[in-house]
Amino acid sequence: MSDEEKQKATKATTLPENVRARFNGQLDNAQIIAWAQFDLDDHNRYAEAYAVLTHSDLLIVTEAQPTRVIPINSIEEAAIVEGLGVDRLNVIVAGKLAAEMRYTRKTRREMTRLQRKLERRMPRKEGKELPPDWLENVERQAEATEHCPRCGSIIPAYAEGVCPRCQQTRKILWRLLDVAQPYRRRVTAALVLTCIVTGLSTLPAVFLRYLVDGSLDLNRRAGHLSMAQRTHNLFFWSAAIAIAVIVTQSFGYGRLQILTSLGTQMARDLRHMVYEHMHNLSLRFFAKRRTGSLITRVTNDTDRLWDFIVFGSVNLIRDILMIFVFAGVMFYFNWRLAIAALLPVPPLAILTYYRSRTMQNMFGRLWTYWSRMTAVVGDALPGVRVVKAFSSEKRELERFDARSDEYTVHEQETNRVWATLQPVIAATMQLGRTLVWVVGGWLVIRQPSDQNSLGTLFMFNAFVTSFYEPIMELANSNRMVTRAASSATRVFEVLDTAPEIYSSTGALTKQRLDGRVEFRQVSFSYEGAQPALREVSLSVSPGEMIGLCGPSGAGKSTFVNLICRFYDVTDGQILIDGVDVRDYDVKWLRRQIGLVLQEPYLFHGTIAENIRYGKPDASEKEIIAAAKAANAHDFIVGFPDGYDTMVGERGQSLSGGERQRISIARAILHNPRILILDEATSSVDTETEKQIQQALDRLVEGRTTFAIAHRLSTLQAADRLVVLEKGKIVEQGLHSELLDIKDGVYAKLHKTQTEMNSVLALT
Amino acid sequence: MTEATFDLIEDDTGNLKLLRPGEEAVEKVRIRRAFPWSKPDEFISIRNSEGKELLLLETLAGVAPSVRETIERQLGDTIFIPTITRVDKIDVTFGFQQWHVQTDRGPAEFRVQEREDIRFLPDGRYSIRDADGNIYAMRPRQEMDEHSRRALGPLI
Repeated sequence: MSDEEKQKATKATTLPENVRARFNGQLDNAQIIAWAQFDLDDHNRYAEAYAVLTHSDLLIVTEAQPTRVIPINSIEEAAIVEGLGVDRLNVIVAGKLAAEMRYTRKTRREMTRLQRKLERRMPRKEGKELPPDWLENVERQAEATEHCPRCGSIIPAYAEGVCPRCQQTRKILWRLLDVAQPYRRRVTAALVLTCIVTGLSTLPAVFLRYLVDGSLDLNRRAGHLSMAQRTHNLFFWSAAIAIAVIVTQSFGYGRLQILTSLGTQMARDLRHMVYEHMHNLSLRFFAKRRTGSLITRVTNDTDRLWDFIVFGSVNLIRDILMIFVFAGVMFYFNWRLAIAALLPVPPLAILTYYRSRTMQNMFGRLWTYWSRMTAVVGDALPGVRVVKAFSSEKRELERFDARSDEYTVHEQETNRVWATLQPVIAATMQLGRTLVWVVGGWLVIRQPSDQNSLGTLFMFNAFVTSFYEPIMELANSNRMVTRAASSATRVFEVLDTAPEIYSSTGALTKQRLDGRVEFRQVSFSYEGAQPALREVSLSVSPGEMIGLCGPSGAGKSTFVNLICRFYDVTDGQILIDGVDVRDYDVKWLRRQIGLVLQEPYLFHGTIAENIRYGKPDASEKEIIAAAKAANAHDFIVGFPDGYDTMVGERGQSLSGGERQRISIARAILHNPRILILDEATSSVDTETEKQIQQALDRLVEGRTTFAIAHRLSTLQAADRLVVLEKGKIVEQGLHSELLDIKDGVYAKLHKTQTEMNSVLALT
Repeated sequence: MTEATFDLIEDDTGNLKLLRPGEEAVEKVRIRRAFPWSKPDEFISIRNSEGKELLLLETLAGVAPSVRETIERQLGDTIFIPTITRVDKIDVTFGFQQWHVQTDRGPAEFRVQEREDIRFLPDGRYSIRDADGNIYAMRPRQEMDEHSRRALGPLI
């Protein structure tokens, strides 16, 4: 391929205009291959700087220095030196440091990519192969990203052009109402009923006015009526009040019925949503978080949320509605008294607002300390054997008490603020009620009229009591709102986490996988670590068994993690049956892969359920066949409960070998095309190992297999051994071939292990 | 091993070379702190590029001033943990926290994915890890100014 063709093959990268401007026209005619921002100056202070790679030069522009242009063919070395929180890309020209670009993790990805591209274009050292052209084109994941026009952040490919960040700018509480969306008809019904209940609840007080004026207030209208008429009025209006109360509460009954059923269903939806989303998240998400905190999110936080959505929000609406309806009715009957009644509202509102702000912060902080306290328990209880072995119960208790005290201090502070504000608010309301008596009483005495009747005063008194109630409720519901908001934040934290591994649209599935696996120049690094794999290339034919060995930390587990697509490659490509793994439907792909781990995880349930895990519709016959092939049948039937024996947490305790064989049976039934054995026999004694080995031999038959083992003896059945060291394939071949390599890694490993075995045999 | 008898030399390419009497010079050595948070000035480890320790200095007290300066400069260059001096604002509306802060290395803005990323250190300080994996240090809450404390609001 000529240079010109190569230029065409490489997708041109565009440089944002503001960055281009910094280079003062030096980039005008150059085609840009890659560019990266880096964010520290030579004194490790934040700065804005850019590096641009063209076909001929590396250009660097910083705040302090004018643009430097370094011709690529003069560069001897361009190496990344990793520090702690700061990495450096050192460019060496003629034995001297020509440029040092320092950057934090923020720009690490871009800088690493720039370095890779730069390195590929540098003068080749002798004997080093030229990298293949396709490498430039498979970096699609990183390069296919577009920037959001609104906030400027990168839109990940899975989001299909919708910026997830901007989508989230709506307030948390409004987003919560989205959860109620599928139930909007019932929510509407509940709201309508709420309005009816609210409207009707003004009636008793109005009727009370007529009762007082028509039968009790002898100074005015009632004074002209006969005893019989007044008694009649008394009974009539009392009956009216009773009917109004019954009708109101009947509607209230319907409303509550709807709300509670709505609540339980919504709670289920929320739990489902959070839990489902968690399962879609990559291993990286789980590696970073404590299980305890995740469990809380699925249970407690969702619980608080539905409570808020259903009762909280509807009650909020009811309370606000009540305030307006009651205020309207009061103004209709007597505006002067209404003003007196409404006078305490502004201070109440201010107090409420102040309290909400303070409490929100305090509850948030409280949650931090609460989870710190529970973390100690969650930490110590699973490790209770260690705690007892070191007899450090007392120390654990002290650790717990320290956190518990810390929490108590904050809780007390919160309660103190709460307790101070509560009486102030209550007093304001009481005083408001007294004000109505004063103003109302004065009006009744000094300006008696139909409007200023004793009945009106009674009515207002009833109103004020039920008018301050919603305000009080609003103030109290603040506590709920703020709690709900913090719960919502935590729940949305999960929901908003983007799955790193996802199936692209139109992802592939196939009838049957042959099991051909190819690694092409695969590099991978976990977050913030040295690359775990460096330019690994390996081609495996269908049905071949590969033994992966090498010292710990060599990248063996990373290797299989990438095949399962638990992570995506940083560079290069993994092909299965000639197709990039990222083009397959990820769930389908994983179904084709069987995993037997060092410490097999059995779920809480029966042995049969556990074997059936990969194939839920398997018949009993199939289960037995699989168990037999796994050398597990005999011991399983030996249990009193046979295949119905409960295992997992709090179940029948099984030995490591038994668990392993059950997990092998599970894998056999799952019938994967590609099989991964991750140290499957490392934690059992020799006799059991033989049994397991036998089972594994049956399992491996006809499948592409990758077996990781420390004990090299277990890899004898492998068609080919691949030796990894520091993320690179250093040797591969048959056992005997590898032994012949002088000073070879494998030969060395083998030697130490045989020596160890002979020592063990002697003792 | 006597600690005084070694020398560290920085070459033109910015790499460190370790010289010890009677032993071969080691190129490209790295320096690390064994207790970066609890004892930053003690137990300084000098290691080769493979990560194998060559020297462990319990203190820098007995080290020649010029070497000591090299070590301190190197540590300063290769370790970047800015200390937050003031918290301007924290937005928690996106389901994650967007921190706007002033640090001893200049202003910074970063995203903290969740509360667990704020670690409480035994001495009352905090270490904060952002979404990219950068680490920031922060003094105890009660030592921060009023504005920062308010901005930290519901977090700590």
